[in-house]
This record gives sequence, C-alpha cells and structure tokens, in this order.
Amino acid sequence: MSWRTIQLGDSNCDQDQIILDLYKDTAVNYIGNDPDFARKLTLDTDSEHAVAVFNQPGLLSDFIDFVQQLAEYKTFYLGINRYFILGNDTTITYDTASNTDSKNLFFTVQQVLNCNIVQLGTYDNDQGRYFNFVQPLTWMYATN
Amino acid sequence: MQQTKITAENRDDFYRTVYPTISMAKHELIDLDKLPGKKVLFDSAGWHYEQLFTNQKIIKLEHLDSCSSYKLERQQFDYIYTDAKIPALMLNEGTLVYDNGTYLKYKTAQQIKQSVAYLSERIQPSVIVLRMVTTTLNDSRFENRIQSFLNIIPDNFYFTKFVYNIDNVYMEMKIKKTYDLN
Repeated sequence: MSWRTIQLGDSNCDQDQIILDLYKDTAVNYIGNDPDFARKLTLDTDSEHAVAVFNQPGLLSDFIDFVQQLAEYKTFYLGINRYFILGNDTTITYDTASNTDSKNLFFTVQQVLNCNIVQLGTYDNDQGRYFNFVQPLTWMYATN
Repeated sequence: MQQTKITAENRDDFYRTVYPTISMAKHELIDLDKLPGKKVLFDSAGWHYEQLFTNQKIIKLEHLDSCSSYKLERQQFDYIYTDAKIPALMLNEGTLVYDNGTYLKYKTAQQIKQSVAYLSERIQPSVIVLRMVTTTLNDSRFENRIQSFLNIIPDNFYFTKFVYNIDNVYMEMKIKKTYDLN
C-alpha cells in the first residue's frame, strides 16, 4: 500500500488541492513519482503545462537537472521535498546563514529557468511526529 | 492536517511505514549480540527485537503517542516516555539502541545532540547505537550533513563506529573512561 493511501485514503491533502485548483480545467504533463495522484489530473504528455514534483532523494545537481526539463513548458507547478535534497555537489554557493533553504531553492529555480514566479509557498514548520511525505511542502507556480 | 490521521483502517500500515524496523528480518536489525549488557530499545519497536533476539535482556521504551496510536499491548513496552520526560533507568553497563524511530526525526543536528545527551543522562548507558535516515535532518540542505552528524555525539562519549551513506547513518559511541589523577 502506498504512503499516500495509508495517510489519505481517497481524500486530498492541502498540496493536492493547490495543484488541482491550478490546473482544474487544463491538461498537464505530470513529472513525479506519485501515480496515485497523477490519476487525479487530466494528463497529456504533449501539454504546455507541467506538474513536477521533486520527491525522491538526490543531490543539488539532480535537482537542477530536474528543474531544467521545465524550460519547455508555458506554466508549471514545481513541488520540492527539500528534505530529499541530500547536499550540494555543485560549485554554487549559498548564504545558508541568513537565507532559508526555501528561499535559496526559489532563487536557484529562477536562475536556472529565468521564469516568472506567480505563486509560492512553504510549510516547513513542524508537522508533528509524522511528517507529510505525500506531497512536498515547498512549492511554486511559475510561467516561462 | 489530514495526512497525519491514524484510523482503524490504516493503523497497521501506518505503523509499518513510520517504524520500518518491524518489517525487518533479524539479519537486517542491529546485531544486539555484539553489544554489551542489557539493551534499552528506545522508540524502536523493541518488542520486535525481543521476538528475534530471545537470548537478550531487552528493555522497551515507547512514546505515549505510539502506545495509543498503534494500540500497543502492555507486553510490547516496559516504559512509556513523553516529549516532556524520559524515565530514569540508570543502566550503567548497558547499551542504548535507537533504530529508525521518530524521536530524532526532523530535528536539527544541535537538537539531536541535545536529545541524545538527555537520553544518555536519563538512561546512563555505556554504549549508544543510533541508526537513522539522514533525509530527515532538519538542517540546511546545502551544507555537508556528514559534518552535522559528527557533531551530535554527547560530550562524554567517543565514536567507535560511524558508517555514513548519503541517506542513512549508523553510529556507535562509547562513554569515555574517567581518571582522577590528582
């Protein structure tokens, strides 16, 4: 049984609903590892819109590679499970003392894609003993 | 938030997901036979260890929420702890084992250090063994996490084993010997 099914059953979590509201009348290409959620979307691999979810372990270069594939879309939702970015294997330097991970990630995406961030959010506060890994807690909606 | 709700339907699957050790075979668990003294299994489904290491004296500590959320039976735990208080056991020549629990999840390295120090103060082990995933370390993603984990050791302990993979870490530490040479 998937963690999504264990935690949510058939219901939607907050992030699910944000994505469904953003693309309720629009077909999208889903790039992620949650087939149960993908089935809730109208899918079209040729769509100009993408829902991309970075929700598997990887280094910063993996994340940047992941982000680069969004350059071809007019709009995209990008969800980031920041816990799964395992470290910085690049020469990019970050001000980790005064900037949050989320702020650094948003800035990196903007630099990579030169995109226009329309909406963003983060829920990095303590979620209790059982963290939500169904959907990432750092997200943005942007246009290229 | 809905996603943390445990129900009758998902209880068993929830427990297995949050405490992955209960689905592990003996050879996948921490080898208690190689560790000294009594074993305190802290927040680690110690009842499962007890079933598989029948020759070991195991003391099982579980969080109050775990006992109620997963409806643990009385024989599945020996002591209950809460976020506010851990019972004082004064183990002395024994081993504290933490294997993929929730107590150290989503804490910063500094918070983990404080928590492990508090645990060692309450339980007084001579050896501490920790196994956990690194993906739940609540520190900056852009710093080197191996350094964060190297810093969690309590002041009066030293590392005897430190096995770091990028997404999980296994640590053994022993208490320092005290000499009064004056």
